[in-house]
Amino acid sequence: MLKKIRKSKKTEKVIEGMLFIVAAIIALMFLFPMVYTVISSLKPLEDITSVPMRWIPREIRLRNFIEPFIEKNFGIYFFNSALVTTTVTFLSLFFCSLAGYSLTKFDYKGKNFFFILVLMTMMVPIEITIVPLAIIVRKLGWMNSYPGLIVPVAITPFGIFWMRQFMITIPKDYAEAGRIDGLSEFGIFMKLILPLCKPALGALAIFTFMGNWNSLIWPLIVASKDQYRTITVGLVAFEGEFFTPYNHLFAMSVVAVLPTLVIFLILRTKLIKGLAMVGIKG
Amino acid sequence: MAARPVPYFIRKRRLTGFLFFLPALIFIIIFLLGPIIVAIGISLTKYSILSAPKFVGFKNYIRIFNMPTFWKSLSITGIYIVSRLFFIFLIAFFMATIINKRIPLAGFFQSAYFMPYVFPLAVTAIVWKIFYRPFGFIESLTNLFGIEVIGWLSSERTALIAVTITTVWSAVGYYSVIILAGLQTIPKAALESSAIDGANRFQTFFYIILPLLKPTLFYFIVVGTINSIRGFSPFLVMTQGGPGDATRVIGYMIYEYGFVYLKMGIGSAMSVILLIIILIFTLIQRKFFRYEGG
Repeated sequence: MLKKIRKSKKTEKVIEGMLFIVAAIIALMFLFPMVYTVISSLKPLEDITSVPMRWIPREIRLRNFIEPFIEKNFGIYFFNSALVTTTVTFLSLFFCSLAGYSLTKFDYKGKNFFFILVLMTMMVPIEITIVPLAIIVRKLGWMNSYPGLIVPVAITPFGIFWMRQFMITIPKDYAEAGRIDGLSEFGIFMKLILPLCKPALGALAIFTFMGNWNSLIWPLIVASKDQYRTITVGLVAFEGEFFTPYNHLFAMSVVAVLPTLVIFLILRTKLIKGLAMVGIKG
Repeated sequence: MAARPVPYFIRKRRLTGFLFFLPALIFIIIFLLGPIIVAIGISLTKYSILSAPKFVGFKNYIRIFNMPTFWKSLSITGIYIVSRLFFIFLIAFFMATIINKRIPLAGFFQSAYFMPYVFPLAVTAIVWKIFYRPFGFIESLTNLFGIEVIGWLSSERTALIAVTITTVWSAVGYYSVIILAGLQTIPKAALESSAIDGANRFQTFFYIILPLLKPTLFYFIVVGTINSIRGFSPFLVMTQGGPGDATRVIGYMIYEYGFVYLKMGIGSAMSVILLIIILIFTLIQRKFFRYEGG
């Protein structure tokens, strides 16, 4: 019996070694396309299009990162993405926590119905309501405008749910203490409750930021004019042009990925757990 | 005893609570519930943005159910979901096992696997579209192994496979974390006792791990299915449904009817059908979680 266990310990070590090698090979397969993209973003165009392909560039061409900003509107695209994403994030944090606060610390008729409404609409993905949503937004006159890009995605039922789940753990006494101190209900929310929610707000901010920075379908429908395109929409349009210099496209892809990549690299372990719980896309 | 009037300050507080929810309520009505009701309404009309909607009853639904392209699209969507989830499960399960064993550099490996998930799917799709170009990155690699495919995205036989590879690459790290969470709920004692009983690896996998992993697997399939239907942007970017109908998944087809052909009525009817399909999946998930008491 003991011998058998000892033997299995040994095979366990061998298997662990094999697993390590396969793990490394898979990691390589996952990293290689990214490395290739970064290398290609530094190549002269001919080094990408030549047959057979030239893996090692003959020169490092940093101009790939500058020319699209001059020749194309990539500056505007980035500005739009940054503006839309940060505005949506702030609006979402404010209104979702306000609604979550209402659902946890107040009693009024319809409260439970509201919560069911939140749970129900949480399951409705925007990808499926896009046709009617576009009709509504067109009726509001918001096509090709910042409100059109921002408002229809500014609150998520998930965000309300998320904040409610956190706020439910906050004791009612906090609000009572504020009332005794003579704070208004809104003052209690802003000065006492929100500071207690920092961890939940931080996580929600990151999910919202990433989800919106990465989104394509909705901004694609709203922004047909170049002036309102976000970075994803701009890249897709750029790719669809008759002649697209691949090195420029690769360079702009690298830049487009940077904000979310930096967040990921800083918060790695925490973010992996959080995102797995929530999910931001397909 | 007669009911006493509710004190003023309590009524005021109730009103405040309601007012705090009001912005969210208005938003939900206009941008979430509204579109669903509008979709049902428009699905009963003939409507392009150029002319006013005209009521046609269930004509759109009848037309859709008689459309060979619709059924083909559903079957392509089905093939896509099943094959995508199959490969995701294989790779993600392996990844989760590796991480769970705490081999050296496990943290680094997990980050490497997960990283593609944080990239915008649209950017991933664009970059992979160029990878698949004739004589491009992928072909240069496959040629090394003696596989000769020319134009992955331009052949009906390989286009769906190509997109599937891309979306598996993009999301498998995410699903591996879900499966890892499931693996970590399996008690060590169960594995040890099966080892002492002399079970080999396959037996342990099929008779111990898989049954204990059931709740996770179920969650994986439901969430994976919904996510696969939702994430149609790679199809929009890489193939636009082609070549032929080879990659015309249902999500992209709805987009096409609504925004390319401008047939809002048919597009809406399709989204209503898809909404019902997703609803069924969600209800199954709900019911299941109630059983598990989670």
